[in-house]
Amino acid sequence: MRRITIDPITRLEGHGKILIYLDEEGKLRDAILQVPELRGFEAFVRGRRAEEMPQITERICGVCPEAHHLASAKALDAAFGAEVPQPARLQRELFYNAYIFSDHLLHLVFLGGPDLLLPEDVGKAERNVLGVLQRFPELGRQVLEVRAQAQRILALIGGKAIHPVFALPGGVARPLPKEAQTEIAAIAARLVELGKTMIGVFHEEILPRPEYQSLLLAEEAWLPTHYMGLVDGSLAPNFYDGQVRVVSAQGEELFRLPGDQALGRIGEHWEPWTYVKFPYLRDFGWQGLRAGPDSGIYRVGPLARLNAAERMATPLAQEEYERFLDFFGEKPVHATFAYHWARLIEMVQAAETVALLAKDPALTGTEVRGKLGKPGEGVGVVEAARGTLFHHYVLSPEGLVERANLIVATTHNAPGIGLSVKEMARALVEKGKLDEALLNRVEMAFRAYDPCLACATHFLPGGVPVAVEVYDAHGNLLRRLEG
Amino acid sequence: MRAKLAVYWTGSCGGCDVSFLELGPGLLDVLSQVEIVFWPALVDAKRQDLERLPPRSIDITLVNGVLRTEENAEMVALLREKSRFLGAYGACAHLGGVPALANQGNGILEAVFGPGFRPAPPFPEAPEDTPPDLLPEALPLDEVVPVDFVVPGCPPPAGLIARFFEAALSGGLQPGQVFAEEKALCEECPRVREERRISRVLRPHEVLPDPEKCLLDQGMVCLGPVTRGGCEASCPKAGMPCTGCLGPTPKAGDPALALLSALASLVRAGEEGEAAFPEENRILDGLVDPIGTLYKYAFAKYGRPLRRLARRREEVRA
Repeated sequence: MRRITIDPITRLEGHGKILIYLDEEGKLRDAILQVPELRGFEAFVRGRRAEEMPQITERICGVCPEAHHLASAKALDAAFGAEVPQPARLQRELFYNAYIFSDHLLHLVFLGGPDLLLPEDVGKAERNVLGVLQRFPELGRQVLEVRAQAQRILALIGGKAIHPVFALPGGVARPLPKEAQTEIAAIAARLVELGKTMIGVFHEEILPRPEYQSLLLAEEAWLPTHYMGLVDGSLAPNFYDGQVRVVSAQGEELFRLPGDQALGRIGEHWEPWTYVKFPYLRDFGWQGLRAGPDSGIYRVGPLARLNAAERMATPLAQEEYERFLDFFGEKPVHATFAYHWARLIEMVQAAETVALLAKDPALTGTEVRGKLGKPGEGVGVVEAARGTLFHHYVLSPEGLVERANLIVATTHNAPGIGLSVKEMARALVEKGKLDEALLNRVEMAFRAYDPCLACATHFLPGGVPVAVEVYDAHGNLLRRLEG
Repeated sequence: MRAKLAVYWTGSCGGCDVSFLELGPGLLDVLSQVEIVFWPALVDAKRQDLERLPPRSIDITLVNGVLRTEENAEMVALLREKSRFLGAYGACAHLGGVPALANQGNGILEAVFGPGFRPAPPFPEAPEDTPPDLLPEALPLDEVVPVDFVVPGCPPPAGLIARFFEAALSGGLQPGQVFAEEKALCEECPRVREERRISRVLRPHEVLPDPEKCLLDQGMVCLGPVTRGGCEASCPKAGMPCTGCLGPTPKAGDPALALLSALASLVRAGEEGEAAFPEENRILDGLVDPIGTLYKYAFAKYGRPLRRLARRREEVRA
């Protein structure tokens, strides 16, 4: 057996690792994604105060703390049987859309951006955020400025931008001051402007490039799975609230349910060789790590949300969504590299939603706490930037956490990411191309998901620094390639 | 000459790495003044590249995250050897942070996966592909290597990051420096404190606080009096109590003991024996989960006597 290790971890970061095994004939035996990192939040949240959970669980991810903060608050709303008053709901929803904007922007320009914005022959040393800033100085500065303003919205509402403190069971900490609303409304207009700019950049600098088109249509990056996403009553994606809709690989609705019932349709499989669990749809059962209409594997995140929805919620996003569907000519879109385009469309919807909510006079209403009942059990679900996020708590009568289970976006996608990596590896092994292209292609295959393996890889402009080691059947190192 | 900079993360949420972006366009000025020799989040330099560097050839290294695995410990030892100045960046490296609440001893693997989970390789022929074991306890940085300075916070606030770079890039870094105030957070909090006697400890979801008055006076457990300033009291301003992410002031020391002492002074003391004030005796009943509340970020650093006590109790019971 030959073994190829793509290892950003033991060697460099400790966050994710890809292992490729070949048989004696050089055919692919298996390729897996291993996550060797575990901080064990499910364990140490036991006994904590329920109202602290939004602030504890957000420490799972410092890139998407807003998602954990609000998934947690929603689980607590349910566990205390509380109705969230409109002003509190508006604060949360506006905050949440500002976060989606900010997070997607980060990936489009600085993380996925270098793959998309820089020519393919750019050296590794330049394929990072510094390279983007050098080639697109104006865009780079504008993005840093506008992102800082989006973060300002998060701080105005959340108290802090990274690791916010405002959400509580049944509502939020305090009414929003009037002057904060004025400031937010002014910023919102700039978010929408940058959204338009980014659509222009995508159609001028990215989509026309033959390299990107060939990636979009590449067979090995075409993965037929089911798709999950939150939708509103008109079947448009909603990041903060709605029903969980799952459509099949053929595009039929499999179910549309509130979060707690949807959670019951998800099973979790584990393997002893990784610390990440593999979710699957119970209706199909665990069929092993493979895609297709009869497998239980589904995907989440921008592409999945667009596949699970029938339209976008806002006008500019809808226009771009129609261009997206025209390009592929069919739905669901199974192209893994379409995640980037879907991210752009969602970023525009988020900006437009911020602008809309910023005008709502109820935003500064003083009724910000719903009445709390006795603590019990509750499920909260939101769409994190990277996909559906479930928090499920059981509380004691004193309002302490007895049990917690979380299914985070990149966990839902772990089977899909694993399969994308495997298919990419299979294609490259069959073509006999065990060279640096392997590194690039495999890196790009999982970067499309903007994965959050211990919140790491989506902040990696130059890509996960990887090394590939090729061993012969006797375990001797044949070649070592570095990215 | 540009200062050589390294940034590394161990058991981290990524928030510390993202926090540099909070400088906004100011980040461009910082980037123009440094040479990044190692920063997995940003550039492609490898561990091998790091190993090849001569000792003390990196001017400044910032480590964020708690030490959770054997590999974390190895990496920070390597960075220490290569660096002139090495600092703890963020609450996890500084104090252990939120993930160190796991040091209370809950079995992580069993809680996450259920009984019977044992790490194993995907194929028995490749035993080296077994996921690594965890350290028995999550540790702050200075338990494994000497630390020259601290940029505290969860994550460090933009103002402190800017203050740090200003000092570091002008050659003004002093050993032992902590980039936050020595004075308590209360000094920069706009809320009015009257040191009122409290009648009950209230949890944040139980009360909508008055926007002007001190949260502690209103019965909420706010760690402001024992925590360093430097964040402009961002949480109390937003209506939520301080949870201590900048770490205790030098005067406070152990934050739990210091805060309990502050709380005690706000509770009316009895002169006629324990039973004389039944109401007052129940004031602290609202202080549930004292470890998670008072040691939210600092359990690894200050919770050791408690952990020894718990072990001892188990031994006696056995």
